Amino acid sequence: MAAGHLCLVLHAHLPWCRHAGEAVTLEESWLFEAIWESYVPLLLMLDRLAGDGVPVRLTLSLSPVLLEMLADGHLMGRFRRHLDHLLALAEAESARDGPERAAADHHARHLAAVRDAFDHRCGGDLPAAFAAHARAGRLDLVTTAATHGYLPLLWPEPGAVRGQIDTARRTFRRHFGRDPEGLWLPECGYTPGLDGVLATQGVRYTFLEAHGLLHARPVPPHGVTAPARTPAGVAVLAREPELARRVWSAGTGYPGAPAYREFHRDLADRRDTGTPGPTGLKLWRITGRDRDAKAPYAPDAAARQADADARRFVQAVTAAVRRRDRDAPPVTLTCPFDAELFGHWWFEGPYWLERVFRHLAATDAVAAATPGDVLADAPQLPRVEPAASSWGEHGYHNVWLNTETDWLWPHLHRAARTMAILARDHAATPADTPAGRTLRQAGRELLLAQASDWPFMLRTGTAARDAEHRLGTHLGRFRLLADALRAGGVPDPRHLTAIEAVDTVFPALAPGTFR
Amino acid sequence: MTNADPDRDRPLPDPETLADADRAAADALASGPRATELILMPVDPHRLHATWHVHPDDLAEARRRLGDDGPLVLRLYDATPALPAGSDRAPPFDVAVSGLENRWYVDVWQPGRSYVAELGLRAPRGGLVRLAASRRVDLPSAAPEAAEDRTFPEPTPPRGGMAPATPQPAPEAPAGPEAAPADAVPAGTGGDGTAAPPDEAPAGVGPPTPQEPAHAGAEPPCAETGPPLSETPPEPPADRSGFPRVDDQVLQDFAARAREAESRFLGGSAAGGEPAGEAGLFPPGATGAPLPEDGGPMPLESVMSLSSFGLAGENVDLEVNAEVVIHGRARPGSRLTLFGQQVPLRPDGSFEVRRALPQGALVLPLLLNQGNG
Repeated sequence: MAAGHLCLVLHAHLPWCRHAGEAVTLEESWLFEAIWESYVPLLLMLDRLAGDGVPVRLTLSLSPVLLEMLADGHLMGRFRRHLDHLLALAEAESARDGPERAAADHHARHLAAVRDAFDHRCGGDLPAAFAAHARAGRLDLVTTAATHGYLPLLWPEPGAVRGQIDTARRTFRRHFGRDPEGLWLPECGYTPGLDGVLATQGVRYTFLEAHGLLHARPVPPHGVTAPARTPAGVAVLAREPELARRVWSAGTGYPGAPAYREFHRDLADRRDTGTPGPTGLKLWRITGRDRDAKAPYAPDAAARQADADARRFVQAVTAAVRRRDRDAPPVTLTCPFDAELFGHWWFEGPYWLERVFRHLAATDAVAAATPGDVLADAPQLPRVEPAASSWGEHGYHNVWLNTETDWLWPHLHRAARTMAILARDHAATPADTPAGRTLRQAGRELLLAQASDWPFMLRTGTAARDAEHRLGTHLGRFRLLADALRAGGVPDPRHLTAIEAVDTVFPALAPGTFR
Repeated sequence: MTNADPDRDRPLPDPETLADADRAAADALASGPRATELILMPVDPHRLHATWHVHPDDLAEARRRLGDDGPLVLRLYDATPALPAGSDRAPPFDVAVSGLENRWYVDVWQPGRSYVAELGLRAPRGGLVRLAASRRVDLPSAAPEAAEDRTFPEPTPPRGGMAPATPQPAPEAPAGPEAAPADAVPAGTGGDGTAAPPDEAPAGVGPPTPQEPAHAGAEPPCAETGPPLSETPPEPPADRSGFPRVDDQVLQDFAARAREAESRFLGGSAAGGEPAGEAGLFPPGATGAPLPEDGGPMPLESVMSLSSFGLAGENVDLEVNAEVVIHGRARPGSRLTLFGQQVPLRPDGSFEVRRALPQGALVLPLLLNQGNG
């Protein structure tokens, strides 16, 4: 048995973006870029490793709302058109003479491979393709809160948390035919008591920021290098901070190497492409700190850099494992990352990950593992009460509760309270009646309003007006539906049908869990 | 889920019908009565956030009961279930606040404590005519705590080892954060079964439980809690109407100690030493302000007078910069301007504008145009 486990965890999430307009919205462009830059490349990485017989144990959290979008025919049809447009653009660029020609050619080949994989490898059904890797034992699929609601701040209304978790479980089951064993806490946000809800929903393990365990009561004997168990019996694995910094650090992390592709320069920054806004084609490398002096992207040099960084990462993992005490249990190093870091933000990320698995396969000291593997090796875990924590700036709830966002929480709490009342009052209402449909749609709108994306966007100032609009839209739709039910009626049937038709998410939602 | 799933290709709605629905939705969001409520939330180990809404009828009733127009205060109680060995429960303290609907951040010195709060009008002798009470909020710890012996009851595994296929029966009200599933260790008990301090709102105050939140009911939410404060840990309520009960003398003694502690803190002697009190006890601007004769916490008026800046020219011993926060609510769709500039309204019609607070009088030219001229 290896002396250490490396738990690589990727968490994928984007906000709901189905809409009735023709133009590609901001959130929709995020989804499309994540699919062609991250999700499909990760899938192809798994295919290559499987084809070469390289052992892979990777944990992947697909948020329920993302799953629903990836399975939505309308959205995937729009993605395919977007991909065709982008491929045509890349091919046109690769036909131009100039220093960026090699980079354009590389992107054209990459996009063509993505389109081929999307259409033929997985038939437009990415969840099914990931599920196949899970059945083959390479992937451990886990879930997260339904719309990525920030649970510690929803906790004043526990029905809201139950609704998020129960809907997540039902959605996972709808897509994968079984219940999830693991759950990613959105933003690693934890507050004492949440584990009870997770345990009731059958969650065996979850993940924390490092100080969730380091400040636990009592502090577990092996800190973040071994899992622990909460009072409710949920196993927790905490992020290993030193390894995380090697990837995440804005200043010294691997993704900042000069050879890698520059995220912040788009083709539209250099010439009129006839398309409003960024195109998604980025043909330059980071080069240096000068924001104006960017050299053309060189794919081969970037690949060599990714391989070297992967080797350094595996060396650091091995060294950390060898530092353990002789009488300590096998070291578990948990490294969670946003999945979109790999490919979208860090274009070479999927290839780096592939090289990490190949280098790991060549060492006996450390084995890639899933939480299930780790728990099977360590049935007796120390019992602790993890500390409230998150992986946001400052480590607590500041990113989601501050002067830019504090106005929205009373609305969310009141709506959750109303939903609890309605769920109780309509417990016997059949789902297929107008009142039953209204209640279920109210639950969907509540969940969509609770997404952590909106306060995050408000805090960072990234499309803050857009976040306000989305939040107001879902809260307003909730109020429209809820007010009708509270008045003993149902909303205008045309309104209900229209809202149902645009926010089709979570058909498996069960209103009773919001009580 | 497969490509054959009927949910996969749901047609989109007619845009005009959806737009019509969303206009009705925006109206719904902007309307409707709301009950008086107070919610505390944790921000970080040293900061908690309070948000409240007071129905005007409740305020009128509170004033009638008080027979006066006392200041609006947040009264916070240390409700930490299991205090660290050798430490004392922080005494209750008041924070002067304003506004029927507002939000407030309260800074505290000791991380990892738990608080409950009341919002009310303070009587001259320190009692409180309560408008609303919060549930308990647990602040995160900021550092590893000393080793301690803790035992946890064995959890009951999920039924069948996996999630139930049907919703679990909801717990009976109140369904607060402490209403964890029956097979989980209740939050706040530390897993050892010790009783948590009071964290429920008294009957009729706010809508802390899944009950009809409309402002209706035979009992007004105002309730005199005098004698309101206790230096001793609040006792768990015997029933839902119970809340910490203390007498005025305790409040007066506490205020005197707090005054002393605060002066040490602001004078610098407390730096690096024993935390002598809660940093959020009073707004810093209250330093040196005259105390009410009865020794109660600072009145709001004493805070406002120190909002100024540039007290000492170039040889600065102290410079105070202040902002005025103009916040409120208007009907969504209205056009609101301040100093001729449009003020963005949030989806619920609320707005917030920050401006530097100049010396002297400040006139706020706030204009509302509701679209009908």
